[in-house]
Amino acid sequence: MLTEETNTSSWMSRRIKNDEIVKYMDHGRDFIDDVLIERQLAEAPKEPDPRQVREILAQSMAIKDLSPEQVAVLINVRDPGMLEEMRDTALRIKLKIYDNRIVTFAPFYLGNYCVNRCSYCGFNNDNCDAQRKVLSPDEIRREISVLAGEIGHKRLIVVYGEHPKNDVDYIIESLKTIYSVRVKTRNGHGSIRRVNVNAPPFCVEDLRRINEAGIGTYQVFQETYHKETYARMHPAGTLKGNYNWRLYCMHRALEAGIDDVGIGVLFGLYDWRFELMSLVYHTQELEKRLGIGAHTISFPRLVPALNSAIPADWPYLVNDEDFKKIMLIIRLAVPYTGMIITARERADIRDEAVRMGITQMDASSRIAIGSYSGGTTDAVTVQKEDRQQFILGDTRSLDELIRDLARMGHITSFCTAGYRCGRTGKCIMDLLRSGTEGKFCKLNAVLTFQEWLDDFGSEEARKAGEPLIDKEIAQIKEKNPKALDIFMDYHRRIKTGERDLYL
Amino acid sequence: MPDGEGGYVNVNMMQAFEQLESMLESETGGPVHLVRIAGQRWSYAAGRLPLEESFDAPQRVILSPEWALLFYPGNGSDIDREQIRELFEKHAGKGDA
Repeated sequence: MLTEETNTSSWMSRRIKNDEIVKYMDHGRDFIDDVLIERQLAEAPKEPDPRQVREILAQSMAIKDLSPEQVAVLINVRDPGMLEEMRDTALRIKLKIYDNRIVTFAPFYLGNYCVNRCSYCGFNNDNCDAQRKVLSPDEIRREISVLAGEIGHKRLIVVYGEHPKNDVDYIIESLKTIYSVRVKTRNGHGSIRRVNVNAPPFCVEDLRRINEAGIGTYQVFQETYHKETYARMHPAGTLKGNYNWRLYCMHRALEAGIDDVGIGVLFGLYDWRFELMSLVYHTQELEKRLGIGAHTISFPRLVPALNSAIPADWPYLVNDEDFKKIMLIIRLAVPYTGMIITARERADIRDEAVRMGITQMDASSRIAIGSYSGGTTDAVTVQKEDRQQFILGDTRSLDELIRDLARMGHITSFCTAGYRCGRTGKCIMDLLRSGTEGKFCKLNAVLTFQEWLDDFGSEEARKAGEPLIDKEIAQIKEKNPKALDIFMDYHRRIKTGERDLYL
Repeated sequence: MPDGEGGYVNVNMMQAFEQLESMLESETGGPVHLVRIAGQRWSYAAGRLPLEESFDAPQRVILSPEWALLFYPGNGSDIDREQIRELFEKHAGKGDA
């Protein structure tokens, strides 16, 4: 009989398919040219001419991608006045494309087994203090009952480690379980309507199977694009140690029919300037080679993990000012792409990020395995370092976040209509670029926000949210009269308890 | 779009759509999209972009467990779903092949 260790080794040896890397490479070279990027950074003007910066901002405002050279110019902007202009442009772009909506979601960790040994991660295989667990179907159902039935989430990012216990069959079964849960609420019912997946890189065949399960976005972060740092953080001989298997994961995903893909960097592993340039190269490569760029970009910032090998004085840790600049430049460089800031960050940083063009935020987040249904409701004390990948910086409940966003004039959207209406891949990209998607989104944002207020909102949230809905409806009347009849019909039906009506 | 060798796009359905798209557009006065169904997900596969002014609720016609059409009728007309399904069966063959 084979031991578990032998089975795991055999499973690992079958994972990486070299031909599914090389076929996308250009004469054996990948698309991250370290030397070129370092040169572009070195050659960018140290004190950029305001006229040049304004030309770049005008290009962003016209919803056109920036070149890596232009990104290098923005990286060097230090003048407070120019930074303010960048900030103003970023917000205007966000409002032009996405209006005043923030889409919300919850992270859902299904297991923390992992065969990798990433030196910054609390789940790394060498961390003997981590309590390992993978959720059973019943445990998943209990978690979803809280997420969809008590908190009111409609959208998740589900997170899987790289391990035979969380392999493709488990992923598919867990997705089916998540989508199957329906919970009675105050005035209707709750369910999860879109499941985005954060998982390890897979081969095309596995990705095709995952796609068939009806996922939202498939998300894999490169962590660092800098090859030397990558090798240092991800030991050779581990699955994650293969830089190019990860780098070409989204090429394979798009080939497998997953047409909404999310990329990201764990900022703080290497110089943020290099990583930012690489993100731009990555999204441009996907656009050029496969016709569809990144649907979302995430930019988690490194925080210490239990037993992590990253010292507190690590030279590449990103301070708040640089982190804000990163967000601004991403918004300007890929103006139509969704930007996700998670509760890793403190509430004050996230509130500021709303004014810099981010589009998605999580709330009521729990990242310890099984912690949504696991007892205490106190989000701060529930954080368990031995059971979660990192410690959260923003522990606000969804109700609190919604109130705070409403005070800032932002409507919280639970819309999941796009991917159920064919607005995916190239279609959604074109709709975003042309500013048309906003017309659908506004309608669906109001409908889903009304659902949430009626089913889950506290009295304070309803007080903050209802005037916002009235304002939105007035805008729909003025700017989108063609859609008014059907929208008002749906709105009336939602008020009487119907759920999941979308346009 | 990814297609061809090892790709996911069903050639018969794509070809049928290419043949019928203009006719369907002129009858309904707006863009028509072919989408591929995977669970809850309806992925865009083909059809005119961008949908500049089309913010009406799209009308759905399910062709098979795997394929559907989305109509954004410019003239507000209701779609004759049976007629469209028959048309696609004729051009692409029955089922998903």
